[in-house]
Amino acid sequence: MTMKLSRDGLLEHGEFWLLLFVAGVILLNWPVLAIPGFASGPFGIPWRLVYIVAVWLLMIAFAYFFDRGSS
Amino acid sequence: MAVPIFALGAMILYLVLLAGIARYADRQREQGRSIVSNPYVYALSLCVYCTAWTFYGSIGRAASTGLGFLPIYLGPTFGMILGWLMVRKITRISKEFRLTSISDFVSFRYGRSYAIGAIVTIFSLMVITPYVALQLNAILSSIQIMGGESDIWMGTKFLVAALLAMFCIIFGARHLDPLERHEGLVAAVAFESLVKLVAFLAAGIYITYWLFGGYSDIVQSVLKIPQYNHLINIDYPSWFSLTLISFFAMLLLPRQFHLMVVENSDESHIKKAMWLFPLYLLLINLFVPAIAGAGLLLNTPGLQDMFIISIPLANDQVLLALLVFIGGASAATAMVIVDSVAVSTMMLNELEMPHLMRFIGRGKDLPTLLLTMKRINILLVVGLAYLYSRVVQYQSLVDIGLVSFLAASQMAPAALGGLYWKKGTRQGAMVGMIGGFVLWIYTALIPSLTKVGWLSGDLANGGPFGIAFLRPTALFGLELDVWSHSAFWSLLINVFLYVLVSLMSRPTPEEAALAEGFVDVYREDKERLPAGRRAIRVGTVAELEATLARYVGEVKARSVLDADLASLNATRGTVDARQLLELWDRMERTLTGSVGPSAARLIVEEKVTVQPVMEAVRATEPKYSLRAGRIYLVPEKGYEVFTDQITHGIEGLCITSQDPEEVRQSWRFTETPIIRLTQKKACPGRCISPTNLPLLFITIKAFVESSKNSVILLDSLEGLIQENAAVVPDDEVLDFVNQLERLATGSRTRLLLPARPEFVHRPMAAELNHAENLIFSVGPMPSYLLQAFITAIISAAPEASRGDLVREVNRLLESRDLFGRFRGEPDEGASCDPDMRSNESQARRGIKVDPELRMSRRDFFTVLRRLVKAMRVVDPEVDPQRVLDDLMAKYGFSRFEFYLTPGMTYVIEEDKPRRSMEIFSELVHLGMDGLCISRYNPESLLERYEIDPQRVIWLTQRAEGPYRSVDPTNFPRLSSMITEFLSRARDPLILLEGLGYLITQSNYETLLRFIQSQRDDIALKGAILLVHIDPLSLDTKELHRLKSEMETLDAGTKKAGVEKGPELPGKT
Repeated sequence: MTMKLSRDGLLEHGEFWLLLFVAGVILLNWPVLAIPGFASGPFGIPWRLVYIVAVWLLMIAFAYFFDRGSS
Repeated sequence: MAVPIFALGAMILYLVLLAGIARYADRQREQGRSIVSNPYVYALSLCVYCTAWTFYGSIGRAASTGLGFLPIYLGPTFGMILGWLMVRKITRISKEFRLTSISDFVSFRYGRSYAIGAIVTIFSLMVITPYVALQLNAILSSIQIMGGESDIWMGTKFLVAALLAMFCIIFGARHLDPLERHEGLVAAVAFESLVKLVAFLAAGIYITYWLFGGYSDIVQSVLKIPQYNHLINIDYPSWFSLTLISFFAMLLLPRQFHLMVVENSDESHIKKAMWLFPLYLLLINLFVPAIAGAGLLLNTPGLQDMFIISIPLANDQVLLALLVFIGGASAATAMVIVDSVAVSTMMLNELEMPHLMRFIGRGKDLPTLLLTMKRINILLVVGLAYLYSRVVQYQSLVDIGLVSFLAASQMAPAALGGLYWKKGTRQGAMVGMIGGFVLWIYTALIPSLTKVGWLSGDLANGGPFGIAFLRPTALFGLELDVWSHSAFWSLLINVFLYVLVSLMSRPTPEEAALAEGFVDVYREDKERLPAGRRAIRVGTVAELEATLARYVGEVKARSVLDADLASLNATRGTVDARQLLELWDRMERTLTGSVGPSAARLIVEEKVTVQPVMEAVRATEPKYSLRAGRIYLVPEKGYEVFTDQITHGIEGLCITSQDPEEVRQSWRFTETPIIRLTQKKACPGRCISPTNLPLLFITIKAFVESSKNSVILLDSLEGLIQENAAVVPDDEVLDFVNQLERLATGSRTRLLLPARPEFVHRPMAAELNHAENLIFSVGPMPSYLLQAFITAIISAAPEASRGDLVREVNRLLESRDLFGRFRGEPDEGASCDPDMRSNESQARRGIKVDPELRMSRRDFFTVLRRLVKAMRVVDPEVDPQRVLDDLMAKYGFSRFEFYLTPGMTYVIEEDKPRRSMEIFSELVHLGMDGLCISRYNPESLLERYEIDPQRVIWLTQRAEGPYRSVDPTNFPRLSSMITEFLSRARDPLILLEGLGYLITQSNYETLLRFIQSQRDDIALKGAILLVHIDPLSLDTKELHRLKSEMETLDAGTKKAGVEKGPELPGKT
């Protein structure tokens, strides 16, 4: 049996945004947030700050694609 | 000194520029070319979230707590991730019901609760005052940093406050707008968002890449200094709670709600804002750690919050400092302007209008008064904030933002719970909010005021009466930072009380309907207004316009009404009753936008309600015994029966065409309201035109709904019908009588209808006559009903055949064959007054139904079946199923009344007799005489299908208990019971269920013979027999033989049945 996955209309589902919201809250709170430390990352910026900005940007990107896909 | 004066001048010029932008936007809107109605402006306007507290305060928080400033911006980011689910829903609801503030939103959800609206407004005002003060202080502090400490700047603060108040009035309260939309203001705020971002980024780039060697240089340098090592750590409980409360604040702060919901011109703009607003928040915070770090490394003197100005100034970058100053001023002014306008609207709608409504006279110029009050409110908000800022320094206000966020969060359970949970009630919301606010005061406000020295530390540090266990900062020993601690307790108690009290209380019907409207706002088939109030608010177009004009002005009222009429494809001259109903619905929404839901309700109720009042109760027993939920036709003693009831503890409403004073004197009742039916325009007391049936109905409905035990005298229905003949369409009169009947039989009221015997279609006793099926019992109603059905069926037929159909129907209506034995002959004196004949409408429709026609309910469906059959002969394309189903639902009939022909036996195939029982129960409840022969225990039939055990013959061999039963082998006994039933029933219906059991106990042939003999009796008596068969319990041959004796009824499932009905007469 083969499993077929499709991204079509994924962003149109209310459940997807709920999932993204929950994922965002989990990724940007303890204990996950404690994993990236304050060691220097790219351009000497601490990994923790890089991580927060990366997750933040990821959420923005999803919202951007949702807007672009439906406009 | 030159720098600060230059800065102040620049700020004034900047405000003038903003005024120009706002004016330009307003002008463009007036010309129909909105510059605001685009998603980018919308997204930028949401950035009003970033106030001076963000612009300056984030840097201060970063310098003291490291990354602790970030949750304030992550919360709104999460909020926007749910934008399409939550923000869109809030926006849709607010647009649908014209809600123009967060207090409107919450109070409307809970039944237009004045108390809830007032609570939300008062707390908003409490929260906003110090928050606006913070903005004023931030502006002053930034000027002081540029020019040094001096008393002369105190006058500057007043100047700034005055300028801002003026700006708010010009662009937030220049005119009354039912939608509370201010495009100029939005344009200005969006522009300010751009300015503050540019200023922040410019300062960030200068400090990070000009003064230092980049981001890494600053961060690494700071982390090398031991005293700043704590900046590495994150306080996770605080992080989480700040994220949570800023998530709520982004949705519920008055300014956010105003710009995000009220000023939204297109739902699709939310999609753009879902990524633009979080991106803005990311960008404006990008350099916060770097600027804070730089300030610490450079040992910059003064407030840490002001590093963004003091660092460029210390490095002689005056122009950059000026740009930053303008950016900060932008952040502060945008917040002050929007919050002042939003809160002033809330004060007007929730606090002032409901009281104002009771005291203002009719001659007052209300639009001007409302505008003036709104302007005074704006001055009050800004003035209070100015006074507050005079007594509190900026340093003392840095925590105010978080205190405000926490306060706004207390609205979240009621607002967001009400959005998704229908069981949330007014009491639950009120108790929850009050509990939350009390905890907020105790755990957040008291510690904050203690911190700034306004309260002694005894309470905060030692607890009340020295009880450490109750310390505001460590309630019940819970040791957390003050924000997490307060958020935990206040939201916990708030949610707990909201849910608990909601579950323990019952919503009013209106509140329940509004809850449906909120939670199911996307449902296509929902009522556009809550069901409980759907049929309220009807009058003439002139009445409507005059009412609206009182509150929004004549010009605005006219333009709103014209627009609404155009959208309904109607004009003042052609508007029909249904369109008028819609117009009044819209008017209430428009008024809700202008004066808030509580006041709008008062305005509407002022026009329509009659308050139930009780007469002095006599110490005697009532002479007449009337049951609630019944209609009584009374030939002679209408007023006597009515007076008897109202003087024995029942609230009464008298509707009469007689002089109310004469009625009062004759019958000696003093308190009971009387409505006079008269065409006179100027009459003392409460009068309704007899031709304004919708207004009369809603008045009665409002009375019935506000009384738990009432009696209504309508003197007289006959006169009312006569007055309306040839004045309003027949179906409007029909709808009135139908709705009146349904209202009276579905409530705790008794409806007394004095009536001449000639007006009623059946013999009457001298005193009280219980009227079942009123619509078939009086005057020309049966003919109106038949005409309504025929007209609807022909209207839905193919256009080419309509003429033939009209001719055929008229031919049949004139022939006696159609009516058979029950043709209503005009008795002497029994005919309806010729005036009642609505010849005009008949001619218009071409259908000629004799207004003297008398029909029982059963006769009506017989005629209808014959007509439909004949129409299908004329044109087989006629398919009236949908039309019939709609009409049946409208008049409260069962579709099976039409589809089941008297004299016929029907078989219903299904494995369990569920649908059979439902149909039987439905028809019996509609007045048929039913007999159910069943294998099931009568008790279980009562419980599951509400079938009265008296109507059941239980097939059992254990003849015990109070129920009628018969042995399954004793067919003669069963047969005689059926015969006995048929001999006394007027409109007999029999359901036979349990065939499998009967066969098992006797044999198939005996059963078949029994059914055959019953079938004959059924045909002779004009009864209906329903036989349930489980097709799997018989073999094919047996099933076929049984079915050949009967018609098959496709009962379908309850849902599917709506889509696909039984076979129509005449279908080939």
